[in-house]
Amino acid sequence: MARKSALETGILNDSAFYILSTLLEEMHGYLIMKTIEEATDGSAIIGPASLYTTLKKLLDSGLIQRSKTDDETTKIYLITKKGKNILQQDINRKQRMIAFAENQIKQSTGDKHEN
Amino acid sequence: MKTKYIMNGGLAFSEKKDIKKLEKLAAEGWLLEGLAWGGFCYKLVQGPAQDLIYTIDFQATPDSDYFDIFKSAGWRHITSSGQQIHIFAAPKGTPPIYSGNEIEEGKYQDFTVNLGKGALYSFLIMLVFMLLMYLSKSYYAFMYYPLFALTLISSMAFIFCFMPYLSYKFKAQAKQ
Repeated sequence: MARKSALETGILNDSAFYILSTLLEEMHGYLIMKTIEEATDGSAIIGPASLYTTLKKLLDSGLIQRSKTDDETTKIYLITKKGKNILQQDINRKQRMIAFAENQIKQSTGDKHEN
Repeated sequence: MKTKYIMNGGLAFSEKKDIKKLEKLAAEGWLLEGLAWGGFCYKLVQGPAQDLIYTIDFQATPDSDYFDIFKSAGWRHITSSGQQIHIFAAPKGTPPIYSGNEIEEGKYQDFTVNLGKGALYSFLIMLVFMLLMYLSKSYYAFMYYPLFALTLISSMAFIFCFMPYLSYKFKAQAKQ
């Protein structure tokens, strides 16, 4: 049996995070790749195999859906309500992680001054 | 056009080694055109020397979007084997087909499951033929050799599924 998709636990890997954010607007697979690359000045590149498999997983777990405007030859995807919830959840989680790390850095540099 | 064939090391066992060899040959002007002899050989044709990188992906019955996405990312589809194994080529410097921290996660997963199924079915079929072969000896002696041949063929099918299955299984475990 397939194990429960990691996506549904609300922890997104980098590719899933970028793709889900991009699909707040409906888009074709190839354009997702281009959009992410351009918006991040090439610092985040989603490889075609990662894109294809991640789209499949997102679709299977109901975080994205096929747009009503697409046809069989070019598939267009769009985030679902469930997908938006998971994305927001993961943004909150990542923000807490960053806040924690930044706080630790501040404290450790503070300690140094005292010493 | 000049053509030559080189042995396939068996993708389950020597994927990285095979790719390195093919890239070296491309730099010498021998370009991969496809698989031949039932996938046991790579078919190469002579052309302009190129700095190419090759990559292999496993994806069961992909749709046309799959190949479109690869093409858009600069990867040219060279050949596929059994709708499962797909070989692509791109100019040197093209970003890899798997990115981020999920690199190759699940790349072999579906494929390993299919190989395991194949191994199990061919094993069961082999047992049935073996039993029939044994019975035919005393009741229908004329059936003995045909059944012997069928047992042999199914045992070969079993080995060709089971050996790569083990190889991928160990690879997956080593990663964990």
